[in-house]
Amino acid sequence: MRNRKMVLLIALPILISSAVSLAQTSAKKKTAADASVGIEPLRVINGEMRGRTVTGQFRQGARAMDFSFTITKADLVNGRLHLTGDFSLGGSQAREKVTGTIAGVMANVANPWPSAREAKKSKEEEKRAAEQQQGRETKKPEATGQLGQLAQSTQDTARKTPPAPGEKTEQTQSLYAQAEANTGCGAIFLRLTLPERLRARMERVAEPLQLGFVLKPFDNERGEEINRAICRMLQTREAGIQASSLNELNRLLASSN
Amino acid sequence: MARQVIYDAIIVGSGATGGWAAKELTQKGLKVAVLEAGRKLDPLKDYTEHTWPYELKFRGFGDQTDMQRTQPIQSKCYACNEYGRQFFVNDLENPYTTPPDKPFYWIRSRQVGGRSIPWGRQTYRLSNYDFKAATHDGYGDDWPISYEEIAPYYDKVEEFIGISGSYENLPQLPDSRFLPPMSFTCGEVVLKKAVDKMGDPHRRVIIGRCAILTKPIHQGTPDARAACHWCGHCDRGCTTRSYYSSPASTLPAAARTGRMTLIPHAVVSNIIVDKQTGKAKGVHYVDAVTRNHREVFGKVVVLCAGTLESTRIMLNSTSTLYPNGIANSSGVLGHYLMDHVGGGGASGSLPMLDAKHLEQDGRANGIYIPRFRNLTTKHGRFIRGYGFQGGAGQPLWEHAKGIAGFGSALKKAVREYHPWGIGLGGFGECLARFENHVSLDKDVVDAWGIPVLHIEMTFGDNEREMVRDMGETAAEMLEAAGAKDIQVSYGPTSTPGILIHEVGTARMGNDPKKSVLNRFNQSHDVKNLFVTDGACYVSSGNQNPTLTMMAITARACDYIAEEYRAGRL
Repeated sequence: MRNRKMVLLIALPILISSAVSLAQTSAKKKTAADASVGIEPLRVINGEMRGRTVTGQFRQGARAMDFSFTITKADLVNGRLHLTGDFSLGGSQAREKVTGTIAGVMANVANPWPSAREAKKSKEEEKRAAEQQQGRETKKPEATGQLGQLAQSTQDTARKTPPAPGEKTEQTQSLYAQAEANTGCGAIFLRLTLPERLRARMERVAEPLQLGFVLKPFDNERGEEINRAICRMLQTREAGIQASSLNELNRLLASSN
Repeated sequence: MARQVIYDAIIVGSGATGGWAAKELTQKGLKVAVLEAGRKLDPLKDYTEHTWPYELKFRGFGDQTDMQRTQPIQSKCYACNEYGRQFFVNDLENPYTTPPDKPFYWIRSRQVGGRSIPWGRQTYRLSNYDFKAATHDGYGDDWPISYEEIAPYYDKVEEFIGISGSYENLPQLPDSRFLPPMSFTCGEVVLKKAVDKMGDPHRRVIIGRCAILTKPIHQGTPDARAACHWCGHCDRGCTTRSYYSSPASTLPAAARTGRMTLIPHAVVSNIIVDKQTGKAKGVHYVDAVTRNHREVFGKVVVLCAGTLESTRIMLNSTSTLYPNGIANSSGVLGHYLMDHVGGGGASGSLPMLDAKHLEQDGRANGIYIPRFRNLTTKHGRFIRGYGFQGGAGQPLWEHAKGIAGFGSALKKAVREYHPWGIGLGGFGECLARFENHVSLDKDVVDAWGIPVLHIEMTFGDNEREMVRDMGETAAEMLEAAGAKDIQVSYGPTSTPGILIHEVGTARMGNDPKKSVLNRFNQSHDVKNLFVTDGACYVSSGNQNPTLTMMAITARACDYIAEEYRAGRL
């Protein structure tokens, strides 16, 4: 009996991996049909914004390079929002003036973890909590929306009480948080026009270069304000609102470190 | 110089539908190339269904800072956590855009197997209430196929992949070819009995139907797969291949024919068109690792890249012949995007049940309440319908948060008390609307330089009313079952995309002026181009869509093989 178990223990991984690798072996036979027709240059770099500065890292082959982009000024040019700032590479003190145009956004909720220092609940949150305590209505549509999926597909129905719509669970944490805040510009994409010197240092970089960034999630109040101001400008076409939002954005940028 | 290979067919995507296309076409004698944007997984390293929280750095909660930085959208999916985030894309490398005030959550997997690795495995047939919905209530368009035409392909898919469930003989939810059903928990039996007594003949509590094996299948053949061992974490992968995923089932079957070439890391950007004939002659892709631009050629192109990715490829396939994207003479490509709507439901506790004994067996399933609205009667506030998914069970330890005390007495109390909870969440049909659409955003590209999609989708009044009704009926059923502490959600609606049932954007139809594909998923404009994933949907139904996508793919492949042999493609 013990021997049979031993055989099973040894055979099982082999059986499993052979079945899966069967589907994969043919991948090793590289086809002669997929002829190379050029190499894609670096078109996209991504980072995270804290305050008014976006930092990140990109790779060129085996080489990883840090960058930072500190936004100093916003302008409206032909109805499009331009952001100008100082771009530096590899932690260098040398900075180049770079301008980028907002090319698009990916809507998401605002930061679900606002400042960790702020323990105080907002009035809205307090109202919501009171409403739930009173009884039946909850405001957690995402958690409820996925309640069925959770029950069906996380296989925890037999291990856990199916979460109440308002209850935070391991799986629903991000969904829960999402319903707590307003929708905003979760990711912002800038098209940067780089000066020649910078392009040369970055090697094989496309023109324009796209910079995508999200907000750093914790303790980033100023970053959130800047993000909200940018998003407000993108949500409206009304000249008056755009002008006042632009002033507000420039004020925030000027007063940031 | 190497001789250029021209495949009989190129299949873009290796997930649920790509796997089926590969299996069907190779078994019918066609030589195919399967292009997959992601890597090959190693189940022994990448699957984590047997990983304990203490084996993970963040004990299963994940590095929230890193997840918000690289997967702010993906991490909204139930399965994108510390156990399974490797199955989901980096959002900034694979972006899309939306209006700032209209979020859409596009949950994406790029790997051999695609989303068939972490999927929910719920498998429900559509019925003629769905295929002929417009005839039933006058809204929108019927599908160009009927249930009767697709039923044999449902049979075929179900027999091969293995679906567990119970025979119910419901007109709105036709039965599958089932393996033995999983059992209800005590709490679910309580609900079922209560709902049966409510007197609505259409309202039924049934066990979930899912692509998980309750007994071994295909024994003695190379397709043999073991029965589920009830570890209970299918969304983290399945090393014993006991649930359907393409790398565990259809792709090995295709590989065994010797006629499949799998090309991973192939990020397809567009379809290459023969300027003389206007037909597709291959696809252009970027190697995700080397960044090399490459081309692969074939006589037929089958898009199985996922609803939105397939449409993106077509929109990006512009040429002098097809200035607005290939297969888009109708102008309909990209339009009629749908996702199921959620946000309505209820949960509560079942204090009448014994909380002392813990009933748990790792059952990888829940209960299902099929659509009961707008079948033989008309609801006053909305058309179409919704189903509920949910379950009843006992917590292993979460209830500790609500127990007072400390030390050994607390531990003892937690061990000896497991209160019953119950919950239902609705999945509703989203009406097909032209204005819910995707287009190519030429200002933003992905990490491989390919223009991304701009997605605009909102739910309408019909969905909002449906969600409100979900809350009302869920509460009504829980109350009938004697549940206590009932919490109800009447909305707002879920964010579009988050239920991960996105369908439409390259709809089927008989009229080339109003649709992209014909009744065999063949482009009206380009006869050797097929799209067999969720993009082809005409209406969303309320049932989880993957089973239907697979059946449609199998059906389309029969047609492709026949037409190919006849020289008509």
